[in-house]
Amino acid sequence: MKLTEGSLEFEFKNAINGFKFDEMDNSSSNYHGLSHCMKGVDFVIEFDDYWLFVEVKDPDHPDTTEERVNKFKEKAISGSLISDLVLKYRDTFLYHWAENKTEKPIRYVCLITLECALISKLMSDLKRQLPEGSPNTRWKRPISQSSVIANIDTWNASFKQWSVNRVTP
Amino acid sequence: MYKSMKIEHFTAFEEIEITFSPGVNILVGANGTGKTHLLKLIYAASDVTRSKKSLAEKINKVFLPSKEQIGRLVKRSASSAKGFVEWTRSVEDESIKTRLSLSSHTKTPEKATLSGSYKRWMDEPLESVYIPVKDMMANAPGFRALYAQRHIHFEEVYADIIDRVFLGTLKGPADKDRKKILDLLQEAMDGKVITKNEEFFLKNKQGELEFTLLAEGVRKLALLWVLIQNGTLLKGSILCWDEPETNLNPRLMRTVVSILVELQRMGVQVFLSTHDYVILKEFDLQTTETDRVMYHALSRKQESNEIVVNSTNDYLQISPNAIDETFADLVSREIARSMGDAAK
Repeated sequence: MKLTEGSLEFEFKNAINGFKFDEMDNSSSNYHGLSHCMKGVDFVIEFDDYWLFVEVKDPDHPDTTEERVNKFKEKAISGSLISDLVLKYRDTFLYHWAENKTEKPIRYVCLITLECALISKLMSDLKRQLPEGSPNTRWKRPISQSSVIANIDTWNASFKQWSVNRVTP
Repeated sequence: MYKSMKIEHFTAFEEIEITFSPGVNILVGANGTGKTHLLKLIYAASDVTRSKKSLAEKINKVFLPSKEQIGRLVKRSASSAKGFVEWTRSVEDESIKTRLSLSSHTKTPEKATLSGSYKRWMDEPLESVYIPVKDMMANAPGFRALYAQRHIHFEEVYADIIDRVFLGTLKGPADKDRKKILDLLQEAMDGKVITKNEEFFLKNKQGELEFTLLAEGVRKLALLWVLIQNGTLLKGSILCWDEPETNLNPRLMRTVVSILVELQRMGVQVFLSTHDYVILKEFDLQTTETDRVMYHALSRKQESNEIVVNSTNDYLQISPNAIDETFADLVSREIARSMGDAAK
């Protein structure tokens, strides 16, 4: 299963199915028609035992400028990037619930094209804002099974069946 | 000012040549890639121009091979081997070189050979300081006397740093550049350094605090304060600093790097080794295009295990970047823990 976001091409070899969440074509069956009020992650992918939500942030894309990268880093350090990632997850979760797709746990993986040291810090921030598993005995099901962030190199090093590559248009 | 250094069959090195920046030179690399050895070589060749000791003798004292047999500094090999170190510096637009050659059979420093413009080298004084990893200021009382009188087993850089610290202060008010740096340090330390009978104190509103009561990080700032105040670190001098990050709160690194950047602007040539991401990043953030910073990444070749260097002016081009690789490893392991079988 191949999916593209900007100049990044993803492949998920063991996926059952997957699609770009924000489908812009209102004749498509994946068109959700709620983008005016709800946010969404980039891809939703189904596997045998879980669903995967993928969000891509690519400040390092080929046409970037230093100013844009710096602005993005400011957003990352101030915490607003993480709030944004969490909001996208939660809204997508709601869609998912409304679609009656709640039988399998959900894992969340964000791809952010920043250096490893910043990724490490952001991953801790994300786990704090979107805890993995069930943090309290009151909850019977986890809201997120995994909340992780990778850059291109660590993505390709970590996931044996998934790959990401930059493609030239 | 150093321009380059060439080494063959010496300590950890097989064959290596490094070209230096006239400003800041940052050595990065895993343990055992020779960072400290390079700093010591730069320092020894500078120190002898002031102390007038023999270069071979100085090298022997800062490296301290077993039984002080200088031949043990030649890179070990199955048969007998020869090695050399060659330094090149510029003095008023002119390049001068000096070379120290020795073999694994060379027992004493007098038997090592000096070639190149050694006399000229020694005639052109170069002020220098080597800040070792371990703090010495709190141990200063009595150490100098003990080192001078007894044969104690300490690399000479430890005795030397204390000597530098005890130089008298420069007469007259500090010039504008020095004052700027001293003010920065005073603000970070919240006080001034004073000495009484070979003992250091930090004087601030609370009174006089002895160094043994101060945090190690503050002692580092105090050391810099003294070296700038007493004129050791002036235009044209050499600063070698082994792992400035040791015992330093990451927040203080910003101050330390801003001081190193200012010293470079003043005309001090800086050599430092680091394992620390924050230090590298601070240099990246605090320097502008007119600053002269060079990163030298030392690594071992996979097949031969030989140490090689890759030098660059651009922070993003540091390769291999052992520090970044460590973060990559942490990220990968964290992903593996969170994703479990899903990553397989």
